[in-house]
Amino acid sequence: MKNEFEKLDQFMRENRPAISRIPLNKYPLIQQPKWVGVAVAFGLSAIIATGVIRHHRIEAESAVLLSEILSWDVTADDLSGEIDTELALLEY
Amino acid sequence: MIRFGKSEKEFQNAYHDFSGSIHRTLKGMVGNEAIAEELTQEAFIKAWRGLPQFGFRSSLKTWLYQVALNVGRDWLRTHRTRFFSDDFEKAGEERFTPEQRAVQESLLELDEDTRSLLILHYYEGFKLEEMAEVLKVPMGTIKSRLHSAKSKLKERLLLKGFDV
Repeated sequence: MKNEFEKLDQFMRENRPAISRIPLNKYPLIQQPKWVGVAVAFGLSAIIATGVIRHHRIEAESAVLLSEILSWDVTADDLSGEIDTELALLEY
Repeated sequence: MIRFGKSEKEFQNAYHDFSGSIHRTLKGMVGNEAIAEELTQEAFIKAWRGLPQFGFRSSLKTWLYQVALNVGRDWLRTHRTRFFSDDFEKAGEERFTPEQRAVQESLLELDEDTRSLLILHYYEGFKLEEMAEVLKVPMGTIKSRLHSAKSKLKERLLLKGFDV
């Protein structure tokens, strides 16, 4: 059966104008404070949401984590940001 | 260091994969670049907050589009303003062909539900099944709506003198 919209579909394929966002590489990031704001807002939201979700997980994991940390033989210089984060979460 | 769980990583990937097309869809709905940017941001923040309730019970892509379309519709309901964006007007003068401008104008003349459907179909390449899932309607309904949407678009273009 012939498609009654065959010509329309063809017309749209050929003449559909692009609805495109401004490409990020068109402007230097420093000139796009809005994009930085978007990224920061999204990042902050993600961090906050992650913290809420992790709070519930940390209660279950804390006993195992504590024994793991106590078994480490590390100096202050060896401490990484990851360990600091884990310790901070234990305190939290 | 913040470590993301599986669901957070999936959401990050989805943002990377779909933010562009969702932005296009919203821009097609509201007709303005700046507003579409804000609505895209709003849609993803809403989706992020709703992630625990979503629970990955269905496709993340279609759920994101559901959220985005609702954000777009809410904005249009609130503002109740139909306008041609600065982008479209300037672009029409500078770099759009008469046919392209006719398509843009015709889409903006249609109601937002019809416009959304046509954008999902023609711009984002959504299959019927995906559209049915996004809009939460049966397949028969989506076929009927798409048929109606194409008829309206065709009518607009015919009025503008294009043989479609």
